[in-house]
Amino acid sequence: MDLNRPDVKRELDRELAGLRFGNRQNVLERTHPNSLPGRLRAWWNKELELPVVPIGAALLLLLTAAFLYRAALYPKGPLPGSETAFKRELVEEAGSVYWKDDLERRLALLENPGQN
Amino acid sequence: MKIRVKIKHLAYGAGLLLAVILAVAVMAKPPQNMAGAGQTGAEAKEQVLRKIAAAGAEEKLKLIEEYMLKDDSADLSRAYDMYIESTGMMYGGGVVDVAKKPVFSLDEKLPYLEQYAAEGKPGPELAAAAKLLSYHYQGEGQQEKAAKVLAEARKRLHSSTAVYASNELLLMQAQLAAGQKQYDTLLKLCAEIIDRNAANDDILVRMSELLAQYAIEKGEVPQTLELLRSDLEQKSSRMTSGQAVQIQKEELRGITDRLKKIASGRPAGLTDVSGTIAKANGEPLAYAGVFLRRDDDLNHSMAGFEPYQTITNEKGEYAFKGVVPGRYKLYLGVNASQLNGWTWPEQRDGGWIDLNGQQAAVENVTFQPLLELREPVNNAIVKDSSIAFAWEPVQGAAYYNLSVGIKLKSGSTSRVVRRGISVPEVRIQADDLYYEYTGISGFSEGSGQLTIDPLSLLGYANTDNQMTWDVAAYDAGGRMLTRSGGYRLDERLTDRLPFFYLKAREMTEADRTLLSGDLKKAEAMYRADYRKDPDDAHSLHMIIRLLQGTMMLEGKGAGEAEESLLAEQTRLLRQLVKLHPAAWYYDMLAQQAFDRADWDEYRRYDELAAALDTSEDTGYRDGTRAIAFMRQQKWDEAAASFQKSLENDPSHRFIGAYIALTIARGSPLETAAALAEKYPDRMSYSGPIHWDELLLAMKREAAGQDGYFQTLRQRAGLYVRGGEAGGERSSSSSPAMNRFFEQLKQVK
Repeated sequence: MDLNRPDVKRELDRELAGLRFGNRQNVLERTHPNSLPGRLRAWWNKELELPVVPIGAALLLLLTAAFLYRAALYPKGPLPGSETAFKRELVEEAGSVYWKDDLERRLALLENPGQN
Repeated sequence: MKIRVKIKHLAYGAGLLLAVILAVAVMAKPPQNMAGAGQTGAEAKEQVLRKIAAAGAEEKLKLIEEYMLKDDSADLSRAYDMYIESTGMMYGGGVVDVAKKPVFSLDEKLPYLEQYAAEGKPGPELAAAAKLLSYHYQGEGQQEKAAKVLAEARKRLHSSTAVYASNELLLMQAQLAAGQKQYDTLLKLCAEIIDRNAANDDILVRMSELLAQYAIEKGEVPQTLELLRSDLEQKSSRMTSGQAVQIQKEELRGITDRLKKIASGRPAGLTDVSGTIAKANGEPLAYAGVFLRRDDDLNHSMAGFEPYQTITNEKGEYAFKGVVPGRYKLYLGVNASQLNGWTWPEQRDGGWIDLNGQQAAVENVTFQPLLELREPVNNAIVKDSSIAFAWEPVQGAAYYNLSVGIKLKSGSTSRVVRRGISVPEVRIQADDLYYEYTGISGFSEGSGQLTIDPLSLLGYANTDNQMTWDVAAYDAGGRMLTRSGGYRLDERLTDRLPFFYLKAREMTEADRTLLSGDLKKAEAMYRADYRKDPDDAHSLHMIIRLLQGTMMLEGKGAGEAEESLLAEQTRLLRQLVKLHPAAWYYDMLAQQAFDRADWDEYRRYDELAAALDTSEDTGYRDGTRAIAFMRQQKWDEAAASFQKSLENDPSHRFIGAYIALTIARGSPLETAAALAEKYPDRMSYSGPIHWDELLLAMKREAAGQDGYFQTLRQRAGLYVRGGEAGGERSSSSSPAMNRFFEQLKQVK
């Protein structure tokens, strides 16, 4: 539609004659906010341009660090409800009854030249 | 590369991430230390009790279930960590659930169990709560309350859905009634049991045990029991195999024998057995399991169907009412922490409890503090020609016995190497230990082929093998006071481990070859060494050991080959005793002379062995001598030796042969039965042999059979002279007599 054509222009003017733009203030507030809410809304909707690689790398580092920290804090604790973690075995040696893990640890602590 | 993003979207994303992290953290919390490290049991218990107190009604019952009623808590044959007897052996699987949850004593559980019994949902836990309460009331002497709690719980259980639980309660009720001699109640309960369990033989067998109590007390067999027996007998003849069936068959035989005993007018009365289980410092073993086990049951692991099971009260006291005559042993169920640092000293008679109708029997158990060893410990290496053993003195000890053990491929072996040591130290010559006897053991590898364990052949002469030792202290009367072997379940008790290596000698090439498993090559090397040096006692000893091993593998009766092996062994042994005289070499020579019926030589070597033997227990030697006299038809000497053996040897292993001798000499069966009852056979070959019952069975069999006693005497005469009195002369009309001679083959 060619608005330079006088008949078209005239027709359009006639049809739009009843319309009045009454929101000028609002538009101005949005584009050039002066009040606090307006400024906040502008900031909330502000677009940032972020470099993917450095930020991704930083996030990965952070996650790894968090995982390591947690692992160091709770060294291989038994899983709750894990049955085997609570079983201990009794053994009999030289007429005495020992905890098997206890005895093995003791024997490992002693130098054992008899076996070399 | 860059992305464009609004601040608000960034913020939403961050919020979402935070929420996810929080959720994960809550769901996978690090292990909570309910009863774990850093928190004492008392704290954990306190925590649970607070939790129960704070919970609503329904939740409360759930928590009681979870913390106080799970894991077979009322099945005494499974509820404890360890099942032990007076020989101190650990009994059971050996794998223990450690403090997954705090362990409450029966006393601590009491109010909660009472609440559960009153309000808990009908199910196995309700039955468990009632049973535990009943044990508790019984321990306090409140028998009526004990019966009531069972009856009420059973009323609340739906017998159709909780069959097992309901039966358990019913049986326990019947057991209580039998113990209280309330026989009307007992019969009523039994009728109910039969009504509900017509097809459940296990329950019926357990019940018949209770009816036997009634029968013995009243001197008459209740009709129910007679019916039951014939029913079981019919079923049993249709059964096939399996351990359960085997046990049941034995049970049935037990019931049948008992009924016959009652019928033949020898009903010994019932006995109340009671006692206190405590530590020497006076601390009672509260809420421990107590099991009076019949000799028939000792060959299998602890089972729920065994009739005499209970719990000690808080003072460590227990009681069994109305125990049927028989031979029993006391076993205890304990938790690992209960006996740490203590030992149950072995009893001289092996801990047997014979009930022959006496009114009451008291069996107390006192645990003693462990004897502590000084040296050699912690894998010390001994290179001197003698080893100095030292231990802490025990108050009141008249003497000590020292045992030394070695590891084998499967398990270990230990022997008393010095007896009657009067001070808490002793020096043993390494050479004496090197020639110490070890039983030859075999093991089978994947192929199933039996191989001789080289560790058992080289025995104490193996300088690479870890040795263990232990000491027991005795009073002047020969009663064991305490010993080093016991429950050592914390750090404080494991800082002096009784392990050492004896490296006074150098192992030879032949020894190394033997240990590598090449026995043939090792034997050739030992022979070469011995040829080089006729004074080489070790090589000679090892050749004899290897010959022993070969004979063990090939078995007796290998004919000529065996004879030539034996001849060579005898020749070598005669050389060896010149170089290194030891009791067991002479014993081997004596045994070989015995097998050849060369009685002069047997006596000579037997006397030489006896002179070197330090063991006080001459029961085996006397018994073997008695059999030798028997074979020579020297009846009086044989009888005297048997008597000596039986007095000395608590296992009475030769009683069967002695009975055969008295029968062969014409004594009536009653005399033999009296002997059998006086000296019960404790040698459990493949199950106990009840000679008294066999003799009674023979007496019954004799009635109405002409010439029965004549045949019996003839067969016994053949046996005592050394002939085969078993199979070929057996007669189908005398199964009891056949069984008697069959069992005699096991006496040796």
